[in-house]
Amino acid sequence: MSAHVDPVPREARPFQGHRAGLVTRTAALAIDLGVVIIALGVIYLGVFAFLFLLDPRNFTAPTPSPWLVYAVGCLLLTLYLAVSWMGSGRTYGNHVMGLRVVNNKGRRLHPLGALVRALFCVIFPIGLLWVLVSGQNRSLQDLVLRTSVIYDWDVRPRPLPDPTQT
Amino acid sequence: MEEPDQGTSSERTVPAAVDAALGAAAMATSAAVLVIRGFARVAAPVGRVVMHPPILNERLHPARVVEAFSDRGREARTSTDGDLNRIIAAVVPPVVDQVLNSLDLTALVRERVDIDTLVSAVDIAAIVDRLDIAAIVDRLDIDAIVREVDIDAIVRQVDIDAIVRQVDIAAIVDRVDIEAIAKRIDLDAIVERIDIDAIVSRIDLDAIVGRVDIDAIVDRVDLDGIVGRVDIDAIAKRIDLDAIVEKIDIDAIVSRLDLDAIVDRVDIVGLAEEVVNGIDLPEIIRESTGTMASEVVRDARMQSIVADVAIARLVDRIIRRRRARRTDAPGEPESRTRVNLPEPTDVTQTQALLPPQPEPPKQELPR
Repeated sequence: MSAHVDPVPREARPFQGHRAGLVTRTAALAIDLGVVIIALGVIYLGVFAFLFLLDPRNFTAPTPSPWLVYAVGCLLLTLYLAVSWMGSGRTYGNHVMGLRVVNNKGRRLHPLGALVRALFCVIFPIGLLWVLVSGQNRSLQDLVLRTSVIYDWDVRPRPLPDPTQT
Repeated sequence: MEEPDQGTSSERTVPAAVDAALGAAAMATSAAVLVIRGFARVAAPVGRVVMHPPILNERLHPARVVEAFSDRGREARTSTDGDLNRIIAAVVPPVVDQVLNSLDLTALVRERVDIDTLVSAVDIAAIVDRLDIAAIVDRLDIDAIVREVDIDAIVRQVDIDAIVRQVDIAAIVDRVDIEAIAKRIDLDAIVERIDIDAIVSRIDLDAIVGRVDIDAIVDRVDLDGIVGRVDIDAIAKRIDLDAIVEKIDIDAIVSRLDLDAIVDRVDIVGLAEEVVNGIDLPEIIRESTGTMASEVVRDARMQSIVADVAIARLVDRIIRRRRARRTDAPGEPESRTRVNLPEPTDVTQTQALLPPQPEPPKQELPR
């Protein structure tokens, strides 16, 4: 016998398991972008400190090119999204907004699927706007990769659905 | 033993002259026969010519004269038969009697007669076939015979034990058609003749019950099958529960209850889970602790959900979408499977759960 108290507020329970709309997903993406920016800053500070320790006398602050910053940022974002989705199925932005990314069977994404979806999102982020006109609240990435972004406020991993019912 | 006496008596009845005459006659007869046979052989051809001379008519043959004499002689002989018979009747019986007396017939038969051959030549089966056994039996007075038989003496001489030992009872039983016998038995008639009351009165039920292995019987009883055939509803309808309850001393029962054992068996955790889900414990915790972060996150999430629904409705109205959005995804979130809340399947249901805009949903949604 395992005790369980539903942590989801009563008014939010009817939405659990449904695909999220544009506002929530955009907010989550914004938070994830903030996380990546913070990570870029931390990396810059790390490089800064490393160069300073190497040669303090001739030290000059590094000034990376915007393309380099953009490329590293895209790389970081891709890895961050892919690792988050293949792990718990949610990034930090998803966690804050109560979202989770699942495949067409309601399960966690396959590592390769998570990586492809992350690349797709980073290369073509405007595909998110398809949620507005989609009859199923799906982005372009969701349509192509048959994934879903659902409301799931429970912090624990979702239980795997019965395969016979899918 | 008696033969000498008989011989003595026959000597008295037959005179010695008779014997001498018989002996002389026998010798003369034998001699005459011999002479006549010889003469006949020699004179036969001459006699035939003399009797039937060829020169004479047949009516004048001498043979006719001889035939005439022969007829006269036959008549004379027949007329003297009565006298001869009388002589024979007077002479032959004493002679035969004397001969038989002089012979030991029993020894003679033993020596000369092969009795086994005679018996083997007798067709006994044919004799038996010719016997009218039914007539013989009818003439028998069997009752009289039976009355004269000493059955007790016969039975005393019989070794019944030896007979019984030689009987193969198993083989006999195998040959008995018990089913045919059973079919011929009129059980009803037999039962009617039985005085069951008398039998029951003679039975020592206590002794019988003492010998019964009730546990073994109960093990063999198909209680499930019996219970399946019982109409429990009908029984329950006939029970006067009020009367039973009135007789029950509930206080005594409660005093005997082991409440601790009952509590141990109750799923208190599951019960508490249902209660907590019903009273929205997370909300109580949030209100009691006043955690700022969780409150902000919850508000942000709800606001974003409300915004999602509103924007979706606006877009659907702009693009004139008539069908409701199908936002249900595969699988069930863990939070919803445990509380069994109604699942909204389209936007109209989702909107029904939402507060009217622009008021904050927190104030309108049920807690």
